[in-house]
Amino acid sequence: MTQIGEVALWVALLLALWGTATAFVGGRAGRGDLVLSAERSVYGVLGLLLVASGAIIAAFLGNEYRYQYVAGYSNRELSVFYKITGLWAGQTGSLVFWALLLALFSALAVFQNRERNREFMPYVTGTLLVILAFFLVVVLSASNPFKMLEFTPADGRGLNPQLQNYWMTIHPPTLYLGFTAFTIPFAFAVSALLSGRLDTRWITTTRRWTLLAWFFLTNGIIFGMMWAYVELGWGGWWFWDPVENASLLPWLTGTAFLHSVMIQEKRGMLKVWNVFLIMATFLLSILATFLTRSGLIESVHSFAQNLTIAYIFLGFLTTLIVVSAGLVWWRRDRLSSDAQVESFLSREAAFLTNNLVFVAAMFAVLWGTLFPLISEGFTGQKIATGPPFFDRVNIPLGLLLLALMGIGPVIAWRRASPRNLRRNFVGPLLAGTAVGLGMLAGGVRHTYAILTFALGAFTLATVAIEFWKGTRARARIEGEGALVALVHLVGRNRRRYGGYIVHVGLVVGFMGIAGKAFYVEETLALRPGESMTIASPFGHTYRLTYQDMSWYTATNMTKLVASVAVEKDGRRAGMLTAEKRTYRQREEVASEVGIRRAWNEDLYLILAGIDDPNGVVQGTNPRPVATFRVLVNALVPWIWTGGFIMAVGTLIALWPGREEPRPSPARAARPAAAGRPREREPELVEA
Amino acid sequence: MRPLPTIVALLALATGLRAQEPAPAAHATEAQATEAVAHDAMTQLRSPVTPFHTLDMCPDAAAAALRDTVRAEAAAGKTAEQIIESTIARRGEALRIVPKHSGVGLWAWIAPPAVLLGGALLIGGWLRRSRAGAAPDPEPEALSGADRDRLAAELAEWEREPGEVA
Repeated sequence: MTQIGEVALWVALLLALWGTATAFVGGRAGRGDLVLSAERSVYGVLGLLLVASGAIIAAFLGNEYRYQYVAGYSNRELSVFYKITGLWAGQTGSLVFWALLLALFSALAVFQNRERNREFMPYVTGTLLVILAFFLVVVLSASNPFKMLEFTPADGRGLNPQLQNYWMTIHPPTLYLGFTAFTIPFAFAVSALLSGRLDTRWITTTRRWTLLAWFFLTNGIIFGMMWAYVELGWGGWWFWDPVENASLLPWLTGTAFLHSVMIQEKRGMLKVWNVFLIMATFLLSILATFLTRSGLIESVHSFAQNLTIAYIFLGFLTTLIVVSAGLVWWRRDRLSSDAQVESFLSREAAFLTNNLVFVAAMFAVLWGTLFPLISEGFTGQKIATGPPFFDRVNIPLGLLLLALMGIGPVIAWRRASPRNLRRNFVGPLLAGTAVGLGMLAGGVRHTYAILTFALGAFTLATVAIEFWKGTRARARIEGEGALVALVHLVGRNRRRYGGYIVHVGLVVGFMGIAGKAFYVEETLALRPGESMTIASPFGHTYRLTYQDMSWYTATNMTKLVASVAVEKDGRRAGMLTAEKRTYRQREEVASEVGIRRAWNEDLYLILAGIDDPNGVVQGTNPRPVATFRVLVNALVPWIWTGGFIMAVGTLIALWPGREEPRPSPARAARPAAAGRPREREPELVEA
Repeated sequence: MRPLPTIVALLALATGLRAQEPAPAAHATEAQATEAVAHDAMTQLRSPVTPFHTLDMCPDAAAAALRDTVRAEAAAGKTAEQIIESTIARRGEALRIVPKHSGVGLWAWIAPPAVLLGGALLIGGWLRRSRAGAAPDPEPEALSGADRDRLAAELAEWEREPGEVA
């Protein structure tokens, strides 16, 4: 079975190369038979990658430790679940998995467009197959999952303990789904440039692909944050680690792209910019993979250093940049705008500013991530850029984006009149000011936290007003109840209202992040029976009493478990446990935190140290002194809630189905009356 | 206005957060002020044991010892900056995770705002050129009396309707 896997990879590479050639030649020569052959190659590559991936999983399940990859990431005691997820646990497998997902999306795109967009498809197919071929070359030349050891060990080394976590099993696939889905709009952009069809068609065709990619990337990042929060045991969820940053880079440009395409669709502007953004998004996702795989930048998450992969990725990335820039230059005459921005006070200008801030944030993150390398290259001295640097540079940009989230969707197209500004912004400005002043009056002095809540209130108010106006108009015109009118309103323009819901989720998430300003922390060594107290920023007090330390063996580890009784303002509030796990195969110690969750805060318990762990296991010291680090993490649950709201909003925007045609500019609607035919709803502004 | 519930909810939250900030009187206590300075310094230093942790979060005992030293320096009246520099002087540059605002480190700070500013200038220039190049609005045709009456009626109707077209 496993030999079949390696053969499948080689055949997939040959097929991808064949498909690449036939796609481009067929597209150039107008040969439908060649294009069809290329499209069938995509299906073939998908099938072969399924076989290869199945073979890797089979090797894991069969405990075939003669394979270096299986021996490195599994052992006999590892559960079946983690053996299956072993496919993406290490570098080699995850590259195959990446290629598999890309092949899956490529096949879906080819199938979806088998009878439409035929003028795009030769170059779309060719571009996708080039990228697939690249990944297969990397796998086969530098990271072969079927590489054998010179002997067959009796057991494997086991999976990294920190990867034996539920969130870690779904975080990488979700992230990869996001990265690979962005390849589809990129391929359409390349095809639009090659074919010269640079109107809005390639954008409208790939709109859902872009949203889908953004959905996966956003959720992938949030899952990663959840994993860091529960598994790394330091109380935070984002460390501005290079690998974390790498996943954020394409998200930032991808989000900018999602917004700027609306300008092209509506006004025929920003054509070059949109091509640039989607190319940048794809290139940054390749860069993210390069950073993760090369090991050139130190990171807690990255795979082992592999210079061969680094050089291959760097070469591919350089080629992509040169080819992309060359294509844009070649077609620059066809990328001119159909219209001009007429006023600084317009939606176009607001979206442009939004794009500028997103790109500036991307640059800030990229610059900070690469600065240690750059400084070392120029001066020989590596200058580190840690979380405080990224916080200081990016928080102001984040606040600017928060404000623009409120302005962009409601300011008028072309030119906002004073009346438009008054009607749309007076209420939200009052809301923001009231919240800011309320916090100041309440004694809050953290500037960024106050600004986040004030701007968040401003943005939430603009969204609330939009929903309220639309629902009220619909209820009057259609004679519907408020709830039905709201549901129909959202259903009729899912993209717009889904977008608003995403904005709400983002605001809630921002507020959750701002809660970091109010974290409280205590560290104390306790004997069993002793207590410590910690005051919540919400006014109550927790009392934690260290009950006992127990130990037991699990499948592939020994656990030392501290039990702690929790009281909230003197009332019993349950038990928390925090663990130290020693994994037998890898002889690594990992911490498992205890978290008591509430709607507004987490009580976060870390077992920082045990004075005599061996004594506990041997029974000579069953009541050891334990050091606990306790945090009250204010508003952290809001980050996850915000992520959930964003996911719901994106799914609404993505949901397939026929939306009613865009209303004509003429305002045709009047209240429906008995005996009169129903008329159309007032024009609703595309957001 | 209807978004009032939103405002009320946010105000309630803001009031709730009042308690989150330690009371001013509590802030004034020396111990808390010292801890705040120490914590500020610890978040800007790398752990000497685990390179992927800042000093404040590192669970290792060696880091705990260094935290005690930092706290002692804070108690002696040093500022966070002074503590950072003295710790780095003792333990080496490897502990620095915030670039200096001088020398090569300055480039780390300058480049992001420079890009933002440069981008803003580019967009501003493009917008100005764009506005200058925009075709002027065509000369409006004179309204007939009937059209004027009809327009007035439509606008009056429009004013009464709730959902404005932006």
